[in-house]
Amino acid sequence: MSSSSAAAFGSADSTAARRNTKRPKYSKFTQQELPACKPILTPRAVISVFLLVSVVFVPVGVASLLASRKVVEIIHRYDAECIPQSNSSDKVAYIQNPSADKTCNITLNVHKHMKSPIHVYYQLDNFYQNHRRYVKSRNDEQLRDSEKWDSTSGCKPEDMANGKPIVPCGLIAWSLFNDTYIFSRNNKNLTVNKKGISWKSDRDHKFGKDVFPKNFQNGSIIGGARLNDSIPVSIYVNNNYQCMYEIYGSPLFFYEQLSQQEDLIVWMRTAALPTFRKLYGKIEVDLNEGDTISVILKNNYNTYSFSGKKKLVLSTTGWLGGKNDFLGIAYLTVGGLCFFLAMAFTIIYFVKPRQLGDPSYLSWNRNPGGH
Amino acid sequence: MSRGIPEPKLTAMDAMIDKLTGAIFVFQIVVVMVLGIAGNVWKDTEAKKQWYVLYPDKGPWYELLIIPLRFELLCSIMIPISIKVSLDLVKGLYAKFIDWDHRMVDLETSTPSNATNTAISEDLGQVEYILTDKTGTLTENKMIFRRCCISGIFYGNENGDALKDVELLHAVSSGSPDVVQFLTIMAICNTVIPTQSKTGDILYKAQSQDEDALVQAAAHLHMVFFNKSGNILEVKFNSSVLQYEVLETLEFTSDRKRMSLVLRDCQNGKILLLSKGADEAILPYARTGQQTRNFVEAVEQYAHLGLRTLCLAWRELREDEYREWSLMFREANSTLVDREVNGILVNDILYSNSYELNFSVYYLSQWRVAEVCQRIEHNLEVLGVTAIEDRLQDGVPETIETLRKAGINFWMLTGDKQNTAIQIALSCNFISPEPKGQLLSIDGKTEDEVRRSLERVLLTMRITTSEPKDVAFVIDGWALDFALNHYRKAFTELAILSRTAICCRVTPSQKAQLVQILKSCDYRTLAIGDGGNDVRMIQQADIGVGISGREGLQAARAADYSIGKFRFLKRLILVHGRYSYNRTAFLSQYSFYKSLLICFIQIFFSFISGVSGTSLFNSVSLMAYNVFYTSVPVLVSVLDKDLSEETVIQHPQILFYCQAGRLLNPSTFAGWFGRSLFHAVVVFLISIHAYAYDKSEMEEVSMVALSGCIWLQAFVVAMETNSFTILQHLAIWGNLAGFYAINWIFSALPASGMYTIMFRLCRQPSYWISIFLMTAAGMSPILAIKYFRYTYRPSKINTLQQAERLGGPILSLGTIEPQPRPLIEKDVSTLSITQPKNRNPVYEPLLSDSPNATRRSSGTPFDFFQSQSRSSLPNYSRNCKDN
Repeated sequence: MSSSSAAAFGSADSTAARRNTKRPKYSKFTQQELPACKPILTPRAVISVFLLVSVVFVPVGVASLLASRKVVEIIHRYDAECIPQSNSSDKVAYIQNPSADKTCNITLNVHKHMKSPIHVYYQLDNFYQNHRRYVKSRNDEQLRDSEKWDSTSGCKPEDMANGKPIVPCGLIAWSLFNDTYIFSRNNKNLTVNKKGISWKSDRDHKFGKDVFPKNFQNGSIIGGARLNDSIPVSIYVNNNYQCMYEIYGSPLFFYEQLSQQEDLIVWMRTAALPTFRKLYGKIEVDLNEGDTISVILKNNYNTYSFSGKKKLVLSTTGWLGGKNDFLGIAYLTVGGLCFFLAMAFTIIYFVKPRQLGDPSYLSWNRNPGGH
Repeated sequence: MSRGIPEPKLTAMDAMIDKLTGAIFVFQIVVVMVLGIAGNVWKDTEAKKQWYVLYPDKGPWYELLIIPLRFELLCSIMIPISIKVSLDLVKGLYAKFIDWDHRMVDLETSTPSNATNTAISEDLGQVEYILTDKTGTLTENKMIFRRCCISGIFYGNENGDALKDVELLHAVSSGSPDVVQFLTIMAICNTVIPTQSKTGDILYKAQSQDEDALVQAAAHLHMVFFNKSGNILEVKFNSSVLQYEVLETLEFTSDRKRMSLVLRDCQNGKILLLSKGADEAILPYARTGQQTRNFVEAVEQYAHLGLRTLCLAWRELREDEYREWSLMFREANSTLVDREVNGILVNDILYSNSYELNFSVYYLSQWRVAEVCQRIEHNLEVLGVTAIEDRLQDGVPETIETLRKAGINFWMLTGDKQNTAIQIALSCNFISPEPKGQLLSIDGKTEDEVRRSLERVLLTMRITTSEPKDVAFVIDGWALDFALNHYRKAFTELAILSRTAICCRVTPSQKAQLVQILKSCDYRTLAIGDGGNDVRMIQQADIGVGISGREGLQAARAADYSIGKFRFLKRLILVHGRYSYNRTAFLSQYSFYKSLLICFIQIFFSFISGVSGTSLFNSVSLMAYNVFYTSVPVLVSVLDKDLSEETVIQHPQILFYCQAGRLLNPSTFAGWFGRSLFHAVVVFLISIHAYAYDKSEMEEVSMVALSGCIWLQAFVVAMETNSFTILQHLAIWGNLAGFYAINWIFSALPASGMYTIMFRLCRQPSYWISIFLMTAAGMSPILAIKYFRYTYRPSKINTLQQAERLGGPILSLGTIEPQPRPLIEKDVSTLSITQPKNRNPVYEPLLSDSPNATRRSSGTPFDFFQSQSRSSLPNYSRNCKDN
């Protein structure tokens, strides 16, 4: 006598018939039988991979290192020396004093021939352009589109001055770097080309040709530089550029359109690191070994309140960019490490050979007494 | 008949993933708090000096919260939301693979396997206990009358089919009175209802398959039971129609183990008592003077063949004897009125399964009836013994052996009687015969006896647990009832100690209770059954598997998986379950890895951005990182196979890695955590050093770091993939190409923040040099560690991979070769089955049709893991999860 009830006796056949059509279709995918390549980590494969990596990486590392070494770089820190002795006790007060003379003369010695173009950078240390409050404090629409001149969202606290919107608004623009450098060699002026230092895409699409600064650096606290006003009006009139005049206080200022404000454009490409260099201009003549470059600089920018360094950098450029040994050293390290691993594995392989897939390693194949 | 909505099942993996998510959440909170405090300190000390940030002197009251909240936003990507979507997708695919599997289609009925529950495939790979029904699950539930012994003459012994035995046919045609009487009992001593179909064929509606088999067999032998109207039974023998009037039905109960009919022969008015039942319920009541030795022998012989035996007997009642008895019987039955009322209620709960109900709930009231029945069922003229075969399904012994090698413990829960259950258990490798196996029985008529028996078995079990011996226990529903209600603790301990158990005569609710006990010990349970009486057990278990078989689809509908045959369970667990587990283990940990990777970079960046909570990556990149760049390659890991299906089936022990959760646990997770930390360090340091000074432009550094992450994750996926199909290559390398395509598109839009960035970067040699550096620096230590482990500390999976792919000698060594099993002769095998009625459970491979249905008799323990954990753990904490 069975335990089970057999209620639905007849239904089995009908279900079977009904399900017959449901029989799954056969394909290699549905059966999980797609042809597959199943690599395993054989000693030969692994050692060759490591050898290959080291063979590729060491030469690339050497090349990178050479490229970096070929770059000639002159770095001069001037933030300390450009404070007059009398003011060294209170640097911040000096730098914030608008009437104090900020002019400072420094000399640079060219220790090696520098081929043009020579990039002139200013380098700031301990300056957090990537601070969240700072990096977001801009309005791209306003920069691009003259119609949107009053859209200042995201620019707080530098969005309005005297009740009017600021163009360009925001902390980044407000804190524009304003040290200036005039280079001369053997009392002859060295021209620094300040055109083309920003990205072309920024000039063409990010900063409008018909957007003009408005109400800029007009608030209660002056941050950084005013926008460029040093270019004679005539040039722009000749070039059929529109000019804008604005009277505030005296004398008369006329501002250039934003797409030509290359210092601003460079500055507004915010740096990801607290130490960064920004292109100031290019010297388009070679500098010879032994040349002495004298620089007259205006030490305007306040880095003293947060003890940030200011450096002036002259650098040539190679295929990897500026002087940076990191990639070369890292490549040599990784290449060397891989070579070491390849050697180590080879030695282990010969000293202690181990058969792959040896069934004796499967414990269930072992003698029952063995464990 | 579905009993409410079963609660949704959660796999062990899901639980583990939830646990890990919780841990990551705590980690996230800690990070947020530390960075939030650091950020506020930095703000109050440093940021005040950074005039260009222009912090107001006096901020709003909530100012202290701003920076922690910024970090909370920044770190919210630490917990991958995409994991839920990815898991749902791949789980759906796992289920589809089960549905599609051609090797799991029952060719007889063309029933494909079906995964109703798409969410729990991983659990299949972690099963530790399988609770199986017997009839219809292990067996085909196709009862066939095979042999009989009438008045000491054996029929059907030569050809194994009594219906074709010439001697029997001859005896029938010659009208031998014993044979005719035997056939009459076969035909009418039952509760079968015959119905006539339109075509004139007679169909039988039988409560039990055995009765059906007997009636069919009788009909075959020209004793056709063709009509039942009211109490009148009509039987056609040869050409004459015989009528009988049923006077009383003495129902079958598990205790009585027999059923009888009292009926009046309408031909001559005689009152007859016809009985059929288990040998121990019939033979002792034989007429004094009748030799029953023949029948005892017959029963033993048949039982050894695994046949279900029934003894048939009858006697003539005197009119007055019947009158007197029938009064008592009616009175006794009337006390059962309560029973009936209860019966309907409980019936509803327990599913209709006649004697199982009778047994557990109405035992006491039944006892009274049984006593009355007893008064008339004696002095019987035993006619003979029938032997019915319930064939094992194809491949059941191999399936059970393979799964037991995989470390899965089997419990058989059956409503059937003990002897039959033991026979079936023996024939399908469920338990081993002496001397390897030992069967301990828990029984007893009273509570006290049960308790003593339970304690004795427990003691034996504790002693033998260190021996490589297959100890199993047998318990029947009556004892189980006591054990579950009064000695639950002892029984639980027993349940943990015993790898095998046979529970006979259990009710559906007891089945569910047993599942509950194992679940409470934190075992993953799989219940498999085919009938309505298994539904509760199936719903209760972690995984319910229904056999869509002869007993209807009730179980299959309630189950999470339905398969056509028991043997598909092997493939369901070892192939689908294992792959699902492995794939999910990789996918979930990888999801955490990639989220942590990007989040660590953000955290590192915050240290160089004045702890202000600046995001290095723009929001588009962050979104695309989770949605496209990292989720596509990992989705194809659903096609990954660490070992081929054949290897897994040959080495089922490998399932241990899944059962013990070796591939997803806090320590493997720590590995992935470490990997993401290491990769974040590599990507971050290289990005900020290679893109320093004049190149340190925010958008560029951000894209360099993001590219580094994408490259690393592509190589991580590639390294963790064991088998590359074309789809994997497409997804991994195509995704990498897709990353550049998407970013070029964004770089072409002037309105987007990263306008021209990607074009600029791709033109710079330093970009590519940095990317290759990150890839090499990130991957070479991982490759080195992996290679070292793979070669010098290989896991079993690695060893098998190596063997499989190098074609080593292992494939021939490890296969389950059918070894000829020496026949144990009957007289040699003195068996110590501690059960009152000693019946030698000698194995005879007659029942199974498959050629591989042999078993090893050599003394090798089933597997290493089990025996190791047994011997190393003195207590019953045989929990692989410790390893």
